[in-house]
Amino acid sequence: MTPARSESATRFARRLSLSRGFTSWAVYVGKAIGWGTVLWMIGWVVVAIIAGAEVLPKFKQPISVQWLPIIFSSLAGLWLLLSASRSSTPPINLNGRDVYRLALTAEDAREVLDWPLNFARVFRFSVAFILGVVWTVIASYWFDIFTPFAAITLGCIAALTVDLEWLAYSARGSENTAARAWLNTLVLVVVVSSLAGGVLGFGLASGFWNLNPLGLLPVALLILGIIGSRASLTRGYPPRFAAQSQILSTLRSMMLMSLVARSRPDPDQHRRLRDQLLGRVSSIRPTRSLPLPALDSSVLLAVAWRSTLTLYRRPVFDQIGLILQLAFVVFSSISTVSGVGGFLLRALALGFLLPRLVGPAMPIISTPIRTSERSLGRTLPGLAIIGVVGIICLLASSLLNYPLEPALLGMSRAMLGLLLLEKVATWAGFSSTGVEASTSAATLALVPAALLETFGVGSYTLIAQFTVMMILLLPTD
Amino acid sequence: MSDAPILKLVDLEVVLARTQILENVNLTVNAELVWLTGRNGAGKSTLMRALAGLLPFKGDVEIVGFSPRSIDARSKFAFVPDEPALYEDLTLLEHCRFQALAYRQPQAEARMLEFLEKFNLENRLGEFPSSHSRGMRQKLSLSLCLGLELPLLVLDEPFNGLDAPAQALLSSALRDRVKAGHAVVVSAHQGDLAKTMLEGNVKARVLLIEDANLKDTSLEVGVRVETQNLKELNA
Repeated sequence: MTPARSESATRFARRLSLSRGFTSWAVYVGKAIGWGTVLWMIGWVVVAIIAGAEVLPKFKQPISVQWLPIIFSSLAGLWLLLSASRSSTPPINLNGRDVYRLALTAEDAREVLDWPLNFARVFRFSVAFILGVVWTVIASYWFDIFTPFAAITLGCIAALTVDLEWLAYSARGSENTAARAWLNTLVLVVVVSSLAGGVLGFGLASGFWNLNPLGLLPVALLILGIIGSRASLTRGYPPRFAAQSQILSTLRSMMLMSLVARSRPDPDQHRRLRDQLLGRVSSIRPTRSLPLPALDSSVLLAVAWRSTLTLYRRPVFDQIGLILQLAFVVFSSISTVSGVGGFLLRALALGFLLPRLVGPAMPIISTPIRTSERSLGRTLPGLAIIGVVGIICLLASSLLNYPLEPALLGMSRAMLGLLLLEKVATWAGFSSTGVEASTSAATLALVPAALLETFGVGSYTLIAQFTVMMILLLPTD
Repeated sequence: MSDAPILKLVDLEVVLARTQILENVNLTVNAELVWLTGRNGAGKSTLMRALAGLLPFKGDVEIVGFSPRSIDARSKFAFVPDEPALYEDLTLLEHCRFQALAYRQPQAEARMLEFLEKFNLENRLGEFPSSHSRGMRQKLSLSLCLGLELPLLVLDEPFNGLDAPAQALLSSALRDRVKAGHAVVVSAHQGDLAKTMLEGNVKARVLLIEDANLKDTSLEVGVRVETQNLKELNA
């Protein structure tokens, strides 16, 4: 493929990579799923949506539409104003290749960023458009109003958030007066039209309750936003864009990879990248540290210290979330949901909890650390946390006059699950944050209880769980 | 220490994705410096990864008489890959303590810190390596390795990304290791560095990987890099 005579380098590179990317994607989907199957599935989704709409209950008296203007105008206005205040990171990014091959060359910034901006707009527009269609259906059934412009209104508002975020980002800390002027103008229009919508019943979001084509104001706003974004690029890129693009690119690759690998991205690596993206001091040096282990400490203690350090350095709200999640798992045995439903509920709660308690992986495998030292070192801090939270739960049970056994069962099950997660991940070569490892570990941790209850000897579950734990703690090397 | 050679490869064969990367590689290394060279893609990194037990291979690899995957062998050598493999969640200081404890060599920490100081990183000990440049990360990776007292060091392209004083420091440190009776296996392309290193009157060999095999080209390479007759140095 060669560039057309008048085609710029950016357009040529973009056309080439997109057409090749699309072709390989189409071939991959065709081979992996089959396009016939995809079309068949889409057909059934449409049928399901229509069937869903038909079973929506109809009221004898339609619900009053009196509050709709205020609700929708406020929500739309708030959403757009929040977007206009998001100035720390760009809504789009270039991948590593494009930063070097295009952004650092003499190519016009507008041309380079046309594709990522348009892609972000189209993506947000499409998702919002579908939601708008859903609203149109619901509105006709429940409110007895016909809102054919709701989908376009919502789509345009969603797409406009891209431009507001971009203008806010461009205007921050730079002398980009064009971006600042466009941002201020758009914010003013958003505020006025939002207030008009709420008070007069005609404005920013009136497509949600109004049939008047003038309710398509967001279309005009979106056009203004696009013009504003292009105007902001006449002086080139915002100062931090190239550096942040690289980090965003890595972050998005991580998310994509975790989606493909059916795992959660490594939360600590994700946090480090976020810190780096926002230029926080914690991306360079830790804000919290534990004392170093003594020089005559064992290898096991060294590995356990590293695991503890990782858990300790997580943000406080993350740690509080972990403790609450753990308390839920411990108390889930008290749940009255029994049978398969109860089993699934407990497995699900445990599966979400376990990856957050295991210590970081040891990628440098030429280090002389025994499997048993690594395995125990990665789980010891998590076991200690479960123990402490478990004891608090036991005390709470005692104070509330609940029986102690369910909390004990929940605590030992969490401990067993953690040990199993580390073993499963090590034996099968899975990532300990992966769906496979956490689901397997959570399911296996529930097996003793399920089996013993099936045979009518559920009272032995606690002993069985502790026995399996002891077996797992035996050194295997 | 046993009488076994520090490193012994017998009929080593590595096949990756049905491609023969190495075939019938035989090598015995004692207290000497082995400088591995060869074109890009010749198999230098593959050989090093195989002898570190990081790649599947056929044949025998022994490190001081032990299989490279055994814990006994792993406590006898350190491997520095071409891309620094570091714990991104630990600061430089924490790396030193963790590495010293992992290798059960408490006294190694002071030496690692000494190397970090020589590499001008003493003011960055409380920082995460993820915020550092490629060269700084390489310096940390090398300090962690050089601080350990081990019979064998395996270093894949260790000079990449280093500034000139750091290259000189590394050359000198590796020569000292060989003089102290240890073995060092290094892969690199820099001919001028080979000259500097091999001039230090240490027992050394230059091995070329070509056509999936090893060739002792000390003399040829010595001429190419304008060193003295390396065979004389080897004698």
